[in-house]
Amino acid sequence: MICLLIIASCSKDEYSGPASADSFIIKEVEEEKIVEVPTTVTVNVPTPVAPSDYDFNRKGISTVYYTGQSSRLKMAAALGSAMNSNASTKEQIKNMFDNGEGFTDATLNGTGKKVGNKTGAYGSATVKPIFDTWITDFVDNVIPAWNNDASKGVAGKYTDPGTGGRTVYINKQGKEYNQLFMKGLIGGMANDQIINGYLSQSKLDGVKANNDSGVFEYTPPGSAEANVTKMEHYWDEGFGYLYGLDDQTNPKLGASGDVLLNKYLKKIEASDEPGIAKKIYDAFTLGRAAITAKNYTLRDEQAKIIKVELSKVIGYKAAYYMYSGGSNIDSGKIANAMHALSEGYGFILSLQYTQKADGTPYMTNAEVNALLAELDAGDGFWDHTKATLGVIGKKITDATGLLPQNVY
Amino acid sequence: MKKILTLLILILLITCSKESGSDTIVSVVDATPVVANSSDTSANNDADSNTETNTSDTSSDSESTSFDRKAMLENWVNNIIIPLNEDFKTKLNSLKEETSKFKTSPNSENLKLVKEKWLIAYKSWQHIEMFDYGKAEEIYYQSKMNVYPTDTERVERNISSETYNLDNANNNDAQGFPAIDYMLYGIADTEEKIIEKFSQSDNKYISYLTNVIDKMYRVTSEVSSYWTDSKDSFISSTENTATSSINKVTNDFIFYYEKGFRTNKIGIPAGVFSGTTLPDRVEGYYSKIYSKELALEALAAVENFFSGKKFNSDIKGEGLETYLNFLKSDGSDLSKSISDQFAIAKEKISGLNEDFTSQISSDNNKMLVTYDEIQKGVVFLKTDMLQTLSISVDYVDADGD
Repeated sequence: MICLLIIASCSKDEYSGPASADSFIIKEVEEEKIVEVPTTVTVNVPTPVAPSDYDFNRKGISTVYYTGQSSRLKMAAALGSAMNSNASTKEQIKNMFDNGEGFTDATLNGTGKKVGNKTGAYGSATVKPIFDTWITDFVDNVIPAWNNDASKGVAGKYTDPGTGGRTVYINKQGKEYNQLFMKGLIGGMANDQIINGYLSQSKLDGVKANNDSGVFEYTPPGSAEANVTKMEHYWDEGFGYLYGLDDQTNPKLGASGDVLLNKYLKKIEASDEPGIAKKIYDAFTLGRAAITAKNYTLRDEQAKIIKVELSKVIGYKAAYYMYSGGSNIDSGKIANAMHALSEGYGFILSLQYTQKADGTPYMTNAEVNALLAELDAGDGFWDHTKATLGVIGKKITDATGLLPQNVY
Repeated sequence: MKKILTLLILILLITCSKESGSDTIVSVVDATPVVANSSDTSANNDADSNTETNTSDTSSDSESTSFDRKAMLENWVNNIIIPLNEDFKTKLNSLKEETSKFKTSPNSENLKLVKEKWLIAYKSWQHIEMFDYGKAEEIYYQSKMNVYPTDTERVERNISSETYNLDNANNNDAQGFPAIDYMLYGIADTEEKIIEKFSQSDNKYISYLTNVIDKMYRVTSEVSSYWTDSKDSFISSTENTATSSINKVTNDFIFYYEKGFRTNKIGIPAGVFSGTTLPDRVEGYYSKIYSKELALEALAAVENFFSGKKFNSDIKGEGLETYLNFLKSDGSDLSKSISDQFAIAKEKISGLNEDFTSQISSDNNKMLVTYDEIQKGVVFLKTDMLQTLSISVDYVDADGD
C-alpha cells in the first residue's frame, strides 16, 4: 500500500492566474510521503558447488555424450580438405556437405548427421547458399586453373618467393576457398549452434518441464538405459561443438582434427586473452551442474559467459586477419595475404553468429554483408591495400570493442 | 496466486500562506514517492491557510485488474472462427455447384468458373488452416485439405482404378486443394485436353474431382458444426493450462505461422531445409500464378487473427494484440514490433514474382530474404509473446540429434 501525502504551501494573495514561465519562482517545500518498504524473505535456491571438470554421472555411468557433434567437426575438417583439393568434384562436396555421405572416413557416413543443415541454421537463410556458391566457384573455376599462375582477375596458383613460401589456390578475386569455408563454419556452425541453438534460453526452457520432473530421454553410448534429461543433453551438445574432439574432462585445445572453434580458442588463449579458455570451460561445467540442480538462473548466467567469451574468438580474429592481410600485402607476400584475407572473410561472415553481453551480435547479417561487399568489390582481395584493409579492420574493432594483438 | 492490492491514496494539501512581496506559485505535479518523515510539515503554514484536500483512488497497477480472457475467447470463436468456417463452407459449396455444372456441360466457360471458385475457396481456406483444434485436430482436417506437393501418380492411380478411400491417410496427398490444382491445371498440357479428360464417357476424372470436393465439403461441415456446438465450452476454458482454449489456439496460431506459412509456402521451396531449391513444392504449383496470392492471403489471416479483427470487418476485438498491450511493460511495445514485422514480411512477399516457382529459378535470394523476415516474426511470437503471456510452447522442433 502506498500512501502518498503531499503538503505544499504557497503564498495565496499574490497568485493571480497563470503567469509566464519566467515569472515563476521555484521554492522548496516539504513533502510528506509514506513509501513501500521492501520485505526480504529467504528462499532456498539449489546452488551446486562448481564441479572441477565436465564429468557427470548417474549410478556411476556417464550421462554426457555428443557423438553427433564430434562427427560434424570431423566432417567439417574433411570438407575443408575437399575445398582445397583438385581431385574434388561438385557432387562429392555437395554429398558430404548436404547429405553427410561420401567421406573417406567411413565412420562418418550413414550417421544421419550433416554439416549443411547446421550451417547458418539460426540466422539468415541467405547464408547457407553462400557456402554453396563457394563450392560451385571452387570446382568450376579454381580446380580447372590449378596449375595456372594466379593474378588479379585470374584464378590459379600463387606461391610466395623464398624458401618455404606459401602456395595458395585461389579464385580470380584471391579467395582461398577452404579458408572461407572453415572460418565461415566457426561462426556459421559451431558458434551458432552453441549460442543460438543449444544454449539459448528458448531451446533450454522448451524442455524445462521435462527437466523439472527428471525425465530421462536419452541413452548415452556407455549406458544400458536412458539416464540423461533433454536439457542436460542439449547442454552437452553445445559443449560438443567446442570440445567434441578434445578431452572432455581435461581439454587441451587445438584438439587433433578440430579445425573450428576449439583451434581458435587456443590461439586467443595464447595471445589476446589468457584465461578465456578456463572461463569458458568452467561456465560449461557449472551450467551443466545448474541444470541438474534445476537452477535455471545460474544456468543462464553461465550460458551468457560462454556466449560472450566464445564470440570474442570470432571478434578478435575477424579484425586480426584484415590487419595481417594488409601487412603481408605491404611486404609483398601475396600468397600469405590472400590466405589471411580468406580467413578473415570467413571470420567476418561469422561475426553475425556472435552475442555480446546485451544479447545482440557484433554485426547483423546486413552489416556483415556490407563489409563482405567491400572485400568483394572490383577484383576483390587484389584491389585492397594495407590502408583499405585497415579501414575494414577498424570497422570490426569498432563493432567488437576488441583490439587484436600483434598487428599494429 | 497471491493477490496484491495496491491502493494509491494521494492526499494533496496545498497550503497557501501569506508572504509579502513575492509572486510565489508552487505547483506540485510530480508525486514521485520519496522517503520523508512527517515532522513539522505545517510549521510554515499560517492558520488561515486555504487548505484543499484531494483524495483519489487510482488503480494504475495492472495486477489489480486482469485481462478479460473470456472476452478474447468470445471474440475468437464468435467473431472470427465460426464466421470464417461458415464463409468457407459457403465458398466450398459454390465450388461444388460449379463443378456439378461443369460435369453437365464440360466447356471452357464452365471450367473457368470452377477455377474461379476453387481459387476463392482456396483463399478462404488460408484463414482456416491455423485452427487445428477440436474436431479439426481429431480428423486431421488440414491433412485432408492442403497437403502439397500433391502426389500426381496417386491421383492418377485413384482416377483410373476408381477404388480408393479418401479417409485413408495414404491419400492425404491425393486430395484437397492441391489435388484440384493438379486436376484443373496439370492433367494435360492444354486446356482443351484437360476438358477432354473431364468429358470422357467413363466419367473417371470428373468423378474424382467431384468426390474430392464432396469430401472437402463434408469434413468442413463437420468442423463447422463442431465450432458452433462447442463454442460455450471453448469460451469457458479461460485457464492457463496446456489444454485450455487460449493456450492451444495460441500455439496453433504460432505453429501455423512457423510451419504452414513460413516453412511450407516459402522455406521448403526456397531450399532452406534442403541443400537445393525445390521449386515444385510451391503451393498452387500447377496453376502457377497463385502462389504469391495465397501466401499474401495467409499472412493477412495471420495479421487478422493476431489483431483480433472480426470477420469481414475492420473492427478489432480482444485478441493477442490487445492482450499484449494490456500486459506491456514500460519501454517495450511487443505488439507493435510484431505488427511491424508482419508488415515487412508482407512487403517482401509483395516484391516476389506471382509464381514462386519462377521466382526461385530467377532469383532465389529474394525468397530467402523473405524467409528471413518471416522468421523474425517467429522469434517475436514464439519467444517474446509466449513469454509475456506465460504460455508454454506445446510443440517442439525435430532435433535430428
